[in-house]
Amino acid sequence: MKKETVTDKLIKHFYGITGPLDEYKRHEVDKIGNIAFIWLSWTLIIGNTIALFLAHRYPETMAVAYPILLEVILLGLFGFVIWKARQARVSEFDTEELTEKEQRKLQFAGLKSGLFFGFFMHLWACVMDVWFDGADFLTTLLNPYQLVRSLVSGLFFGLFIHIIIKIRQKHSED
Amino acid sequence: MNRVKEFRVATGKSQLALAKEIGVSRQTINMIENDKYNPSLDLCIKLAESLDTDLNNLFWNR
Repeated sequence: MKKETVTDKLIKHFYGITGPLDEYKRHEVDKIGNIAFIWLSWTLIIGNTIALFLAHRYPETMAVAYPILLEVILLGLFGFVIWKARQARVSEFDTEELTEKEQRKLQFAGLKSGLFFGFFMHLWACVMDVWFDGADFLTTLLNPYQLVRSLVSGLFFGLFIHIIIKIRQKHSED
Repeated sequence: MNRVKEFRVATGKSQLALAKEIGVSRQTINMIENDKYNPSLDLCIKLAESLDTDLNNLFWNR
């Protein structure tokens, strides 16, 4: 079997593809990626031009509003990519079809991603507190309120990932 | 309408077994069987070889 390149791995990771990246899946993700790229290119070209003109008159508003608008557009685009990938059934998987490595990765995936997310959210929140409020890093790191908040966000994220995996598995079995 | 499903069932193979044999995913076999995807010539040949038939039998509508 042909060895996977780094690009293949990136594509699989981005679109949530498990199993082989065969010609059908490659064809579909190329199509989805192209549509997303065209929309994003035009949005950025037009959006940046408008933002540049508006920035002369409203620099402070644009400095805050434009990045937020871009984030919203990107999130919308991610939603489109997920929807199209689901429609083309490229992100479905059969447990028997997975490699040993993929099966190992799938075990307790919700728990692992929850822990990962909770840990990094905690660290990120601490760094932000230190950066903006000048708080002591260790004090923020061990703050019980912050710890509980990170734990809860990790729990919800883990649960969300677990549900997503189960839905994909169920969809594939149907 | 191709005859991939017909030949696959006749050879007693599941979609997953056929997919593994020719190095694609089960979804791809499913899409080909339902005429939702036109496979490349390379894949057509692999399918024909795996199902012990030729391209005419598998894809030619007469």
